[in-house]
Amino acid sequence: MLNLDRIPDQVGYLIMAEDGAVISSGGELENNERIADIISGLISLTDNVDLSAFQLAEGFKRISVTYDEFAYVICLSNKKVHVVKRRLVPSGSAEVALA
Amino acid sequence: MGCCFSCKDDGSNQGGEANERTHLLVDPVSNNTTIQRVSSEDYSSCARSLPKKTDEQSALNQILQETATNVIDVAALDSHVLEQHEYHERVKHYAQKLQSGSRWTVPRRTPCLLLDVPAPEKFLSAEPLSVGNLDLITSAVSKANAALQELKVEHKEDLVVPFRIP
Repeated sequence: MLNLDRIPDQVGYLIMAEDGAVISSGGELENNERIADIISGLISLTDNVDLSAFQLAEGFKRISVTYDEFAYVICLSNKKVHVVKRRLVPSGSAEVALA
Repeated sequence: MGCCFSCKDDGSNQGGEANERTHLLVDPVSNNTTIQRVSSEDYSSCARSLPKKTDEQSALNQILQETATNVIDVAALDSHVLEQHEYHERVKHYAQKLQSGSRWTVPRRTPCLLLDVPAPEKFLSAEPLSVGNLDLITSAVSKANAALQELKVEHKEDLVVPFRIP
């Protein structure tokens, strides 16, 4: 099992199956089905992003949904979607960033 | 057997004394011929009496056969015995369908934008988006948004044109 607690500034996490079903959760995201739905919606939305528009051909490793004070960091590993909510130093407005 | 016997008997004493086969009411015009006719009829029927049963049976069978061919037994339709070539044809057809079906029903999962990475902690705990990148994204998005706002449809000609129908 992953140790998501060691991630700096982590205030909550979600681990979901690829179909959006929550496998485990904790912190501020504990049993947060609403966020899980939004995240899986976001992931299915990113399927429409044209990869050929980017220089890298193989895809992305992380999706960050950045707000002023916190960010959701989304990662896919072992066919499970890992979502971590992290506190941020205030700057900028809400954006979805791909990195 | 008894019938045959009576027939013979009937034939032997035709035109003679009254028995159970002679008509009670005698035809006044042609007595003789009537008796003759009756007896011959009886005789012929007697002669046919033995094969008569099988005839009746075959007639019944024929009726049964005809009825059977005319009746569509819905329940028995499935139990239609397949000919060899028919069987092979179906095998080919089903295999073909199955092949195209399997090709169709297993659509490749739409590739997710995210790569499956082995150690998610590394990426999850990596530094969040830099301020520079965030500013770049913000300005790019606001520019795109502004461009979309300015998008206008220029009306040049009528979309609906009436045809000149004489």
